[in-house]
Amino acid sequence: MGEPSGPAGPCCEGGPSDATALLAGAITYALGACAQVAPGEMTRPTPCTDWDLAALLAHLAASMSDLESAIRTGHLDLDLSGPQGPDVPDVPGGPGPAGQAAAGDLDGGDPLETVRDQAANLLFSCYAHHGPGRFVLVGGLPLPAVIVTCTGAVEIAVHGWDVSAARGRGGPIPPALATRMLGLCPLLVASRAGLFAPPVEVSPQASPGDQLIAYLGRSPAAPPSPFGQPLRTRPPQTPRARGNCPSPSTPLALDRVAG
Amino acid sequence: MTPVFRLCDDYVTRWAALDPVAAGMQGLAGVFGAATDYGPDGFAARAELVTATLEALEPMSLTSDADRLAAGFLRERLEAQLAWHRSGEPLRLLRAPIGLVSVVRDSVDLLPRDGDDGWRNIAARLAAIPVMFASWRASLDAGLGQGLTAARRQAVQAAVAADHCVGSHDTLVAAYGDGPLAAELAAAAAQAYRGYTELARYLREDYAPRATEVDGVGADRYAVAARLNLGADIDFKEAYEWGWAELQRIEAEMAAEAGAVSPGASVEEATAILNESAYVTGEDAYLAWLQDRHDWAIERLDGVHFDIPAPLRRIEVVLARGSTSGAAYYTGPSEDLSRPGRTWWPLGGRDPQGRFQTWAELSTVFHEGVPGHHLQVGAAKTAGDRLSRFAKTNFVSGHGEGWALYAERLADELGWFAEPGTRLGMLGGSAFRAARVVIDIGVHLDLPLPDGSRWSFERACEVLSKSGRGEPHRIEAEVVRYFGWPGQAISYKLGERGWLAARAEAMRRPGFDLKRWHTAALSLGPIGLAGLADALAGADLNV
Repeated sequence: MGEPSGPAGPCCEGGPSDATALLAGAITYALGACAQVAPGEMTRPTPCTDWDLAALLAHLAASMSDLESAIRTGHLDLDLSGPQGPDVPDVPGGPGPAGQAAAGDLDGGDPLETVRDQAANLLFSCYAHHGPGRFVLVGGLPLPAVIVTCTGAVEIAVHGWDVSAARGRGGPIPPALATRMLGLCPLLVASRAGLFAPPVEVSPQASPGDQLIAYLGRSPAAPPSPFGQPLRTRPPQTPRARGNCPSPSTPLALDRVAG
Repeated sequence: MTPVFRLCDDYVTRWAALDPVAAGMQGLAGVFGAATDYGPDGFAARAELVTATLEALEPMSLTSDADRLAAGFLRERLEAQLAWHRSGEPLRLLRAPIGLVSVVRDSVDLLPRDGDDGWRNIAARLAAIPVMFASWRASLDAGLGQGLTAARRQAVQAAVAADHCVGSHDTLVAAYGDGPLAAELAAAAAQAYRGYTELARYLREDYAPRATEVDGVGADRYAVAARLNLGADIDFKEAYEWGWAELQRIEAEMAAEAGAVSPGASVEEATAILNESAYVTGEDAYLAWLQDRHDWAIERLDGVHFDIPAPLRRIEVVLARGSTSGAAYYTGPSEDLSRPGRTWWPLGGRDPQGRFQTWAELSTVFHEGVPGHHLQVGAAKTAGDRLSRFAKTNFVSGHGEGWALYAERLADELGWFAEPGTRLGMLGGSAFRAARVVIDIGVHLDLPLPDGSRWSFERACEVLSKSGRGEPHRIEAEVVRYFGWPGQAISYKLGERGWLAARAEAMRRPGFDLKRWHTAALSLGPIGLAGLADALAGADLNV
């Protein structure tokens, strides 16, 4: 499939290298949070409804894999009619029963290793395949690759925070990274319906990291709820290229940005 | 001690002071310091030592065979190292998954743990990790400034390796218990983890954007790297073609061997059958199986095919949970033999309570243990005054890995692959090493594949998977390794070829005796492949 060409979008005005730098920062932060996870902690609840840590990591790895594929091929398939896990409920944002690797225990190995490997592949692809005129076809509509990359960076960072919160630490997203993402979020999160809970109110003096987390519907101070209790927050989701997706409904705001 | 032996001894002592991390890895006795300086000054100091030692060696008169052997080996190694220094490699020394990250991390596990002094040294090494990585970053920055850049793929993957190391010293720290140094060790480990994290950030965010996209290193750099790894200058095109032919030969043999697993079965079908039948469950059972097979091999060899010195009759098998190396490896005994030879077996992301296939691992037991690395390295360590200290503590990959692969063949000749599928496992390992030859030479010299196409990362993974029969979870990490470590991957098969040729030559002489030949061969210690045949031809078979 040929790649459409045209000017880069409004997001990440510094261009592809800035978008990749944002992604690299997000990966550094997220992998730093993942590095603290001990094998015995995989069943811990997370800020994401119904997801334990294993499921969250699986989702993170799968999202990275999809994003890598999109960046490399210039094409992101939004066809979510592929095989569904037998126990995956048809609930937006719900990956399935707690503890189930819903989205992407990609190679059946250690989920942390999988996340690291996918992160490396993603970053390498972004460095290799980013160019000023590069677009990704998302559901048939062309989106500047920088927007796709920035969106992925936000998701990876916020899931890094989720991992950290699941361990009760809530390691903050670095201020510089969070500040850059806060500036982009209004462009990337065009609609919240089915994706994010409303922003959580925080003090104007809150750190950029807390402001970012709150903007995406997470409470910086709240510990993860146990499974079975509804949360006010819901994880953002990138589009999934394959079935077995935790969210068969509306993916992240990419299609809306394009629209 | 002759002047040559004294020079070798002096060199080792001075080198250890300049590179205590590597010195510990190589089992040198003594405490040389907590940190290696990987900065430009550190590399320059080691290059100066090499130059000075070569200058000192030049006028020395050699009065015995032992002198000539010691001087020849010292000169060959130092000249190869000097060429490596002069080609600017220290300023772009960035490779994964086996590289400085894994060396620094794994070096901690090898430090002695005897008494509070030992644990203080461990704490000091851990605490020094951020400093060592800072010095390394200085070299990489200097390289970038001079246009000496490593490949971006290596930067990104080395960052992963660094991330992987966070938390990997917890088991060691916990092993100390709650003694008086517990807080110091915990604080040092935390410092180390900050070092890994900062290194990962640097590689990902600072270095990678400026790194080169090209994986292959080109003819000039490859020649230097191959010489360093082989101890020989070879005809790469001839080796490339031989690699493809060898791959074909092994594939044919594997197809025949698959029928021994199940009549009419293809290699894929035989593999599937073996994966469902030849395994142990859980890491404890895996460790026990490995130790049993190591012990079995020593028992079978000693006194029959080799005379194994008493201190070498035990190999310690270790599950390398925190290692980023990806494949099994061996660390030799220390000079004073207080530290045993060990084989290390990374879990590689496998479920600790899951299945561990054994049919393909037996050959690696013989490779890493006996008659492979342990016998060869141990023979050098226990050689007394016949070998220089330099020879006892150094290693030529072509010689050592060639011997270890030859050892797998020897095990086959001895009928040791009697368990179902184990011979297929050995052949699979051989195909894997043959695939390394074509990938490594092909990628770095940009040689065409037989169908005229060009190499890429994906193509290399495909060849390693289909022709090399690599395990899926190892493929990408292996190819990253070849791309970042030019000339090393060829050392196994080309080394084996050297050993087999030398043995074939020896067998043509009347009165050939395999045990005596092996003993004489190992008594020479490490030696570059270029000099192997001549040295073996002149070896004293009455050793």
